[in-house]
Amino acid sequence: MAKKGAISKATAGIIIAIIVVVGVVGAAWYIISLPPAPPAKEKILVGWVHSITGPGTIPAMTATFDVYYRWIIEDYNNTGGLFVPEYGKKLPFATPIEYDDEFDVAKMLSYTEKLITVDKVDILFAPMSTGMCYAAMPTYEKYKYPVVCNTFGSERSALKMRTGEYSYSFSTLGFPSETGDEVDALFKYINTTKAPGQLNSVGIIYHNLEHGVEYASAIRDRLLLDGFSVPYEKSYLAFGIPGGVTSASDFYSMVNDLSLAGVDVAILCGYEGNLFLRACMDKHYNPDLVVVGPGCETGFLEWMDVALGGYGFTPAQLSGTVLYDGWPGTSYKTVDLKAWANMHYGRAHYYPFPASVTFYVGLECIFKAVQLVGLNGTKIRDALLSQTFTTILGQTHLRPGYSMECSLTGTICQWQGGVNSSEVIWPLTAVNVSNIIYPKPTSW
Amino acid sequence: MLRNLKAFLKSPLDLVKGEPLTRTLPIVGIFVVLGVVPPLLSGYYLSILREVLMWTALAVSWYFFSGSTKYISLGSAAFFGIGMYFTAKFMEFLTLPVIVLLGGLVCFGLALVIGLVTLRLRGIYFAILTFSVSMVAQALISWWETKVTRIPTTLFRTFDSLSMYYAIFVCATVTLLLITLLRRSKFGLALKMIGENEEAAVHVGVNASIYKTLGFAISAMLMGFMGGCFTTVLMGYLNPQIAFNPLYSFMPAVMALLGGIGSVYGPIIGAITMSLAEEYLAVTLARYFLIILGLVVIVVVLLMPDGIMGIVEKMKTTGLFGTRKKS
Amino acid sequence: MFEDIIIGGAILGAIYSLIAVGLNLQYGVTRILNIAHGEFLMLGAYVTCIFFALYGVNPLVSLVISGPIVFVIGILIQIVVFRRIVRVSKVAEELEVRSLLVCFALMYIIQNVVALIFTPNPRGAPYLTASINIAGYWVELGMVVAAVMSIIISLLMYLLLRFTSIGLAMRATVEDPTGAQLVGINNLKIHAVSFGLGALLSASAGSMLVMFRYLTPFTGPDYTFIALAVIVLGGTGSFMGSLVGGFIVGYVYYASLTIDPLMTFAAVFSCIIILLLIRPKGLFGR
Repeated sequence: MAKKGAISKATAGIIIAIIVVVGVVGAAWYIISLPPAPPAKEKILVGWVHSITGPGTIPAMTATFDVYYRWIIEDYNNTGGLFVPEYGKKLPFATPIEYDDEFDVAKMLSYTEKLITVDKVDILFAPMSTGMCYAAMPTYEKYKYPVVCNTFGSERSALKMRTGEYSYSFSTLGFPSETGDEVDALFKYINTTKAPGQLNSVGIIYHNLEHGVEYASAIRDRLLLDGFSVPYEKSYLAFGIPGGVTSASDFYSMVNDLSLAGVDVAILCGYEGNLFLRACMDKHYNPDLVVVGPGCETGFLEWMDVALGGYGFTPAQLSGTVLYDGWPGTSYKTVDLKAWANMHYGRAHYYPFPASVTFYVGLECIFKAVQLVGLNGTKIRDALLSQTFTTILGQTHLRPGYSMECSLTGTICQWQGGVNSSEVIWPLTAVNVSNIIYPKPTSW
Repeated sequence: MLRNLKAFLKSPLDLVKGEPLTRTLPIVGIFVVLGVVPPLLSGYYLSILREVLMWTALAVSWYFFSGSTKYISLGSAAFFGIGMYFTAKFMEFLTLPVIVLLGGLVCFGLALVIGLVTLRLRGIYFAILTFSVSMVAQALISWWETKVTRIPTTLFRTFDSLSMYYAIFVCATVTLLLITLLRRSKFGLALKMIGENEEAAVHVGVNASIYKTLGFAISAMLMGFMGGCFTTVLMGYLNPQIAFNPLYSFMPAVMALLGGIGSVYGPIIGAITMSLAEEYLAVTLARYFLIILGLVVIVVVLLMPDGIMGIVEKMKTTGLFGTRKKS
Repeated sequence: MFEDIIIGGAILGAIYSLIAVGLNLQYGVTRILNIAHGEFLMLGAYVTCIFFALYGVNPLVSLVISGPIVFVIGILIQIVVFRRIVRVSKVAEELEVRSLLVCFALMYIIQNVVALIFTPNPRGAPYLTASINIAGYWVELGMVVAAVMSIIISLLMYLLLRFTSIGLAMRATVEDPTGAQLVGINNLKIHAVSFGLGALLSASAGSMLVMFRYLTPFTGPDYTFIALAVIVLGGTGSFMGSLVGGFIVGYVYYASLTIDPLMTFAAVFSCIIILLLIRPKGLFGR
């Protein structure tokens, strides 16, 4: 008989058995209720919102920039995909998700949220135009998605990028202040070294969208500060908005006025350069230099040519026209870039403009960052801020709120008789830079 | 109208004199749900709800004047845009609700002036005139920004999704409440009489000019409110092309007409169906959706000439298959 | 500067008149305010651009292609869509409102179908682009030819209205729709033909515009707005009104372009506002 007061062996055994069973069951329960391991990731998902339809859309612009989004995904897929460190291998890209915002900010924002919260894309590409990108930046910040905004070019809106408040937003193009500096420096060079004392007065016309107003202001302010005179300035309604310019004849009076004002250089800040050039041609107006903006850099002879129903300028007629773009641009002279330009022609049926490859490279920086640090948004952003990547444009570094820094690019170009591409003429230190032609030949 | 207001304050559930409780209770219920559920919704669905509310309010505001008096106004973008601009420019000086209110009052004043001068015209002349007003407003503001201030965009603070939603929600609720109160009052009846036969209305002593002008001004004011609230959605960026988009002139009219301008439920139904359809089609059939939307509108107009509510009315009197005898 | 405005305004005016005559014809006879008018212009333009790009057909010759094509499209649309609306509408106002809605839908449909097929890029068919000198004013030959052709086509339209039986029937329907029916005019046929003709006129303008202008699938509405401004200014239902109104609008537009290019549309629409307040029925309106 067991001692009184002590637990009998049987009882102890039962207690131990209970503890063991509870323990085993509990452990099993815990293990079973652990969340299942995430399925192995198979594809990288990219998404974007673009303006495809809608009365406010400038369709040609969208069509022009759309291609680089698609190409870069195709190109990487052709090499097996993008290497993602967390999975230790290359993952291909799934078909990207695209939404049409009809150039409406509210729609663009809601689709952006959808891409992030519902479709759960890995990488986001930017929407079209400065206004749209600016409106989306707080969303990028909130959800921590780094985005390279290729079509962003407003100084006022860039302030928050520069202070780091919108740290997840990146820019590639040259900003008005940068372009203003470059144009001013170029004119000073012409007036002191190239053709001393011959460049004194400038006429500026600009469209009423943000681009025109900001670039015109930046250029004018700097020129005035450095002693140039700006006796003529006019603003017009942009192509694409109700009542906007649609033909060369809309520029006839402005060309008349420029001629009467006797300025040495005529500058157009806007996207309607080809209409303006046409007007100059019709009126036989030949100032010493004509400077125009984005929208007519290239394919004058291919894209806009007679075969597709465009105006068609001959190389002789175009010769001397300067493109201020201020983007990091190139004349596709190195072996790699020449090959890239030919590839571009084969795929898009027109030769690239100076900054075409800049758009591509801007997107590529994200991909290269992913290769380094994986798909986490914050890590990608940090990589983009700190790293310099080697791309077809040389050493490439993104600077939020400023233009992308590349070792093989310039900022201002000029048509010099080339059939497909213009020459980089500024800064003088740019790789493969050409000498500027001043005054421009009397083309018409 | 004062009588209505007193009755409303006395027993809030009696939303409109003569409306049975069975109708007002569910409506109040819907609004309560709309007010309470948002924090539970994800960003995307919240924004859909918000868009639907906004278009409903705009369509009903348009209907209040144009639907009743049959003076088709295509100038809604002017007031919506001015409300947007006013709020965007001055929101840093006073709290948002105050600025939105002031913006609406500015629209009220402008609409009074415009109405006094233009409501002598009818039909397409009035439509084109109001459309011209919105074009001129856009051009003037654009000119000012390009030539005078040289700052073509307006930047302002951003709001989070819940604030966006509630701003639009409150505005839509106020709009619908106000219109509900007004349409059953003497005011609303006067507008309807003007719509049916203006000469006859004048004959029985209705001061058509005053009622028309006030009606137009109230409609404009409500759209101005909504424009002000809409700035919360814009994420801190505004320019004339965004504010005065002709779409804001056309869509409220199209939605109201589609739903049927016989009753206030017409524009509501029209706005809800069109904005939801747009949302659904745009996502599933991106490049085709405007084409499909257009086809749907044509089909609806051909098959339901009185709008969607027209069919509903017909069904009420003649039964679903036209079998019920009219009483 | 003045011969600038005189010649530039005249060129625009001639083309605007043509566009407005078409819209006026449609509205006057069928009471449909076709706010998709600019889309027919765009269709004509695209037909011309295609034939120009693919087969090298010059834009002036392509008028005989684009015109009939769009004429047929216009008739079909009128028969398929509008006839039923006319039948169902008891009051003129109902008709106007419903057709407004439908035209709006048509606008969206036509724009986007074209954009789908031809992509949204701007297109043109530059022809006769050499610049010629008229009284010291340099202008592209194509612009002058377009203006002259527009006037010729408008005149042809006038002759048709004045001297043919179909023209008589149209004018009768404009003046007094019920009376016209009473004397045996086939309303249905006249409505369809008028609508088609209006579309044809618009398309002709489009075909000529592309000689010196770019058009995208979405530039239709700009021309619709101008046409609306013109017929409101000139008075609906009046052929002379469209002609005179077109030139007035052309001149106001061009003068504004010379003085302050930012205010072109604003100037045109301000004139409309002012004129309507003084003469609510337009200059020649009934």
